[in-house]
Amino acid sequence: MPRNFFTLMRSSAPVGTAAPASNGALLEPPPSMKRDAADGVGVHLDPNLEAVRHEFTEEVETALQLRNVSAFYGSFQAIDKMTMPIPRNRVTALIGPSGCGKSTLLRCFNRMNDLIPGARIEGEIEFEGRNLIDPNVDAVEVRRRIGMVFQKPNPFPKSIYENVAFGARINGYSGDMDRLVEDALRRAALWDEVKDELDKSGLALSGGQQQRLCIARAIAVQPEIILMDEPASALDPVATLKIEDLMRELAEEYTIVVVTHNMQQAGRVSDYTAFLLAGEERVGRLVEFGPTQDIFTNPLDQRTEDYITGRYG
Amino acid sequence: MDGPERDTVRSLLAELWRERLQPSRPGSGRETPTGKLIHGLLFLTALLSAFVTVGIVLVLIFETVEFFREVPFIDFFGSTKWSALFAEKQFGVWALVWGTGMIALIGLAVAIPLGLMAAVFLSEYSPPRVRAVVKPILEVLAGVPTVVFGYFALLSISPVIRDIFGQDVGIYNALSAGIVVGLMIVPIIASLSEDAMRAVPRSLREGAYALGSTRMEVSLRVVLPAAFSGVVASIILAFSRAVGETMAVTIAGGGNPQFGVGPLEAVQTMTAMIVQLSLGDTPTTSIEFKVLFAVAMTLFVLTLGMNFIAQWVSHRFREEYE
Amino acid sequence: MSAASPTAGITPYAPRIRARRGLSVGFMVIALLAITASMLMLGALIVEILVDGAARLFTDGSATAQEVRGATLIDLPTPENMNWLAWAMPVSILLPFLGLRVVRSLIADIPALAERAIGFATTLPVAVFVHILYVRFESAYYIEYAKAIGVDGASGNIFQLFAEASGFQFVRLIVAGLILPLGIIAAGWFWSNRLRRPSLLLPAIATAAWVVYLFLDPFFLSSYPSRLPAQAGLFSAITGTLYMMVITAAVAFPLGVGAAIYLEEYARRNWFSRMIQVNISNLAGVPSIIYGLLGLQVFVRVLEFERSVLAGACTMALLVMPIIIVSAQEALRTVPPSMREAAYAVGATRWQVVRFHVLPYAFGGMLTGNILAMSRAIGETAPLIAIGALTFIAFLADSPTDDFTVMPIQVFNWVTRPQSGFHEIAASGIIVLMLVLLVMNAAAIIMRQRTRTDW
Repeated sequence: MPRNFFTLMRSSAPVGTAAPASNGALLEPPPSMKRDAADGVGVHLDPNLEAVRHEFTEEVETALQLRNVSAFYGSFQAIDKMTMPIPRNRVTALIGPSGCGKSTLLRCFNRMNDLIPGARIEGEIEFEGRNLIDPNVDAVEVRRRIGMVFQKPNPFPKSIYENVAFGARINGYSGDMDRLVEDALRRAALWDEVKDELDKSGLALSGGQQQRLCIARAIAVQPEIILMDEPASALDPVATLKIEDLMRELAEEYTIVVVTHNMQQAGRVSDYTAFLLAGEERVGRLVEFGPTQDIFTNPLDQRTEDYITGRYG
Repeated sequence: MDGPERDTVRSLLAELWRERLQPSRPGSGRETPTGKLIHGLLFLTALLSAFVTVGIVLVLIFETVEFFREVPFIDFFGSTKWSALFAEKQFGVWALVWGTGMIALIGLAVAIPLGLMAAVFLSEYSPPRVRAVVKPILEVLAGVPTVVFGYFALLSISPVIRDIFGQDVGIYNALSAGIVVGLMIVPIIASLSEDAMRAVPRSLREGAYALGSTRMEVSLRVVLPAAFSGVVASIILAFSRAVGETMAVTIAGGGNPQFGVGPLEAVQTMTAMIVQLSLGDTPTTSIEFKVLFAVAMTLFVLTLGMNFIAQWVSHRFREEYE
Repeated sequence: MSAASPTAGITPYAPRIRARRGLSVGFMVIALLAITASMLMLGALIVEILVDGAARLFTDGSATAQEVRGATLIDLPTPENMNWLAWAMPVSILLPFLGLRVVRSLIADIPALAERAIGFATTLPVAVFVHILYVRFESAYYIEYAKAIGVDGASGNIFQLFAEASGFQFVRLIVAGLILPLGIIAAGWFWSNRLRRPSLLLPAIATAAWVVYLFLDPFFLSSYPSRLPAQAGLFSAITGTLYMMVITAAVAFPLGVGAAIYLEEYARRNWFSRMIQVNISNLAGVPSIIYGLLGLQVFVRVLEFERSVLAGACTMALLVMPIIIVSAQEALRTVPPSMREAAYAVGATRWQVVRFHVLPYAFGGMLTGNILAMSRAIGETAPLIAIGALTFIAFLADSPTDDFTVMPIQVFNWVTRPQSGFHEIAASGIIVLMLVLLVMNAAAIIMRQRTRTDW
């Protein structure tokens, strides 16, 4: 089958309508993915792009559905036609060597790339029935619903209280602010450490505390999805452990997508893993996607195996 | 060349190198006599700037002390009447401070909104190309001679003010001088504040955007507070520049040193008074000559104090993001 | 799939995104309006000054000149001369362009160096052409002039006629007949170096400037101050400014650069160098009139320079020194430490490192700072008034100890006169002053871009 044929078919399919039945099974995974009765060997999620998808071992809703997502910086293409689901209330890890487009993909999820001149996204990311990269969808609204935690902790130079309350204030929160702040800080496992010094500057905290403050800040606007871009890469091992525990806890209520270059971390915290790899022309592509357990123990693609076993840089 | 000859050369070379490798101070390299001389000369040039400050202070103090020998301290700082050029001389410096302060405050009232808006626009809204054009224009504007602004105030702004407030407003008034002083310090506020706002790390903006902020909310509620120290410092520096500004206020402010007059009347600033006394051939032994230095001393202390405050603010309240 | 999130219904959030978006856009519009308004205001200033002042620079000054000099001068642009100009302009603009086009079409792949050489060479005929044109023009002018004053112009000895003409006319001849063509050549070389394209823009600007120059009435620029606005000129102020600037630069540049070298390359980081550094930034904030009083006491009275060019230049040098020091320090900081280390590693002494490795790379930046400092000095008025520079100077300074005046003081004097005739020539003076500043700033910006090196 010529490669262009599928591309054409899918990109022309309007948002929200079912794709033609003939290729729908392959191209558009249903929102809840049932385990196939077959022998457990993965099927090609996207045959023309050679990404493999493992069978899911559980029934899970889809929070985000990516279809043919490509991202460009000017004339440079950073990621190429990625198609995958992000399961709801699970931790999904994006792994891959540096420069494979993990962060770019993550920043597509809440339109942060809009802020970079010359950046543009193609394809479709379905979120609650709407394509969130459609220009008619307000990026501000998207970002309120899909929060983000960054690589380096970036608390505002304000008090701890104001850091948490900032998002709620600008979004017109009318409830009890003190309770919201306390609640967010508790959920971020920071309350006990800072409850007596809420007026202290957020910058006065340690790196790990700052990062948890940033998580509390993200929680306080009550998003549905939290994106984390290597949230522990600037932290020491103890602080990293705390953040990882926190991620596991938060996954009960939130959908979490985490970018990491730390294989062990992905193994520890995530339920699902997507392995991305940049080709020779430095364009990132999805190689393999599935339950973390399967990806780590039984990778289907040779390149995934090479990366997980440490044969890639 | 072989045998003993070569050995001699070798030992000579070794000698030479040994001598050359002696450092005069660790890490400083070896200093030849010429090098030392140059070092000394360069040190003197650096010291010159200290001498300038000392010179300014000495010159001002010398004549100021002479002045206060003849005129009691209380007459200078405790009075609001100024009439240095009349027979009955009064030296109440508050009359000049009033004019200076009013013009500088009018200037700030014009410059702060304009300058901050320009800074926010350049740093947060404008595409890089626009900034690349506007920034050098601001720098050039900051270099326009102040006589040019004086011309502008007297011949363009004053007539407009008279059209608005009635023809009984004098052609020389504090308002038109204040407006041009404001225009003059807009580039200072805009340029320095923009630098401070651009120094706010990108990650902070992204953090705010990721919570669902609009551009204005990011600009005004995150970036501006984060750059607060730099912005305040730029405003203080601009105020200090407005206080020390001379030619435009001399041309447009008029020569009416009176305490308590309104913005539509002529005033006289400290600087304008110095110019006025310098233009006439004041004998160096006269009291008018000496009061010039007393006023200059006041001005110097004021602006120096403000510059120190600006430096203190920008150091004390600067957020360290690393 | 399209089910709303379970918490969406109960969150007490009211994001009002549309309203906030509107506010954000509104804020941008207001900011833009404010900026535009202030730009328009400054634009109005420029237009007003041009309207007031340009007339004095361009209108036929011969009537005034007749009165003053008692000689009959012809109008400069005669129809005959206009014919020359009419086709000189397009030719001079197109020639370098066509030159490279032709060569390019003949040789497909020109090496970069050859391309530059061609770009340079094609400007040469333009320069020669301008020169010939100018000499023809000027000789016609002087033959007429000679007839008018009764000298036999038929002999055609231009040089004899030039000698008859006033000093300033001779200066004008040198400028337009020699310096301008040379400037065009230099501009062509520079431009073709930068863009590897034939020098189109700068020769065009130079040509335009030259034509404007031909139409200028030299009277305003070549006359001394006067009681009557119609007869007043800027000559003594221009020469005074030039004179003072040369001395200021000669004093301030070595001192400022020396201090910068000391602070960046020699001084250890101790209380002393910190103190000097704080002191320099404070000096930059001292009102300029206080420097004037310092100059008055130190240079005029103690050192007995009197109210001379020298006293003014020294005062100005102290005033601009902080600017020069800071910009020279910035230039020195752009030289990477690895370059110094490499030089030390081959056994250079500290001065050798500075002299042969650091200075050559930082010099462009230092020069830029110097130009900016000089442009500040040109516009400064207050300190010179304080030391007592005069406004009415009807002679040229011969030595550094002569009295002098400068352009901004002259402008200040004219602005403060009540007669509107003086206001007009004040505007003319401002135009000249601003042109000089513009050229200096442009030179600094170009130089900054040219010497910027990416390591």
